[in-house]
Amino acid sequence: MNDNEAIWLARARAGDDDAFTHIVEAYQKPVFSLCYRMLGNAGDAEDAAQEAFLRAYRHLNRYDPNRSFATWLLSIASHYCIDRLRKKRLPSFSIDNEAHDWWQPPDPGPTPEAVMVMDEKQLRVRELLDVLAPKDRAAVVLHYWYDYSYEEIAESLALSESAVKSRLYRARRALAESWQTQESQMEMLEPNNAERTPYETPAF
Amino acid sequence: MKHQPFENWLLFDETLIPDQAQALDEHLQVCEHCQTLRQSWGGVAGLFRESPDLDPASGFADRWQARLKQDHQGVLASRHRWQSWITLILIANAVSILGVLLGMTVFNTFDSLTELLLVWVYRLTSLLTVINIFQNLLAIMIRTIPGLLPPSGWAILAAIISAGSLVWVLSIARLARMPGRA
Ligand SMILES: [Zn+2]
Repeated sequence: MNDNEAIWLARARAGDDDAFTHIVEAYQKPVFSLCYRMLGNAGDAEDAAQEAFLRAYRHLNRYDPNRSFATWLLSIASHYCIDRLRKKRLPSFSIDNEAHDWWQPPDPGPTPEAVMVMDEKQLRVRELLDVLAPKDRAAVVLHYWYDYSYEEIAESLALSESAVKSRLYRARRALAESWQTQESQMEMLEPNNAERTPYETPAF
Repeated sequence: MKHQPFENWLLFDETLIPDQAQALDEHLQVCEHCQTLRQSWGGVAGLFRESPDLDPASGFADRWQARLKQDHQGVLASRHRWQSWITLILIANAVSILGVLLGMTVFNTFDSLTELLLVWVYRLTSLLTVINIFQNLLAIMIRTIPGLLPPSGWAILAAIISAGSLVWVLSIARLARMPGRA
């Protein structure tokens, strides 16, 4: 945490709205990204990110300044998205579903004027994550986009470390299977896509 | 073909010791299933790495401030709602208590009404007893007074009273006719 951030947080704790706005500006991108990965569309992500900041501000007295503010904030956002996914029971794509049209552009949501240019990669990411249960999805997002260790994920999602490991294992298998399904569907639709670069990387 | 522990090694992102790495390599050369799993997971991981963080639409912080203001107002409104409810409940309680008190008072009044009635009945009985005593006294007097004087004595007394009355009436009449009096 830098000094400015500590000052803003101290002032925000004392009820200074403007001070917390600096925090919002500093963290809007990671929080919005997390919500976007979790919820799959810009409208819901915007709403969830706003709500996460609001909750963080309301409960700022519960934040322990000796720990990372980013971790605390992202944990709030993760929990909010998990709850939201569970409540809304957003339709999940079955990997067995023959008709699953994952290449359709996502619903950008009614607000705000978010013009999200979705390229193929973002769409694939979205569709891959969509096969995961909310908490598994959060674990994957925190691990692969925020470089969270198992310990940090466990702390953020209120899980044990072994539960995080098994959830990530299960998630990786589901993601790999979903990837295979996507690949075979793309091959069926585009027989001449030899120029497409396959994502071949060693296991990690 | 047995795919364990190779599947686990592919999907648990933990560093393998050299012997494990070599065994995995050897298995992958002969197992198409594990090869596909490795390629697929590699594809997913590569895609994740290439997918950058996303920016929200511009003006996010301004929208947050607007939402915060709305939230403050919402909190105030909900506080007012609560206050109204509490006031309403207090009033309802007060009315209930008053109702109960009124009921008890009415009940007590009925109770004291019977007491009052009893008192009045007692007083009336006492009064009637007193009247009865006086009646008896009067009867005794009527019976005894005539015997106190001889008949001539009663005649003289009656004459004196008649004369006195006559003098009193005449003096009143004279006074009424005096001049200067309307
Ligand atoms: Zn195998």
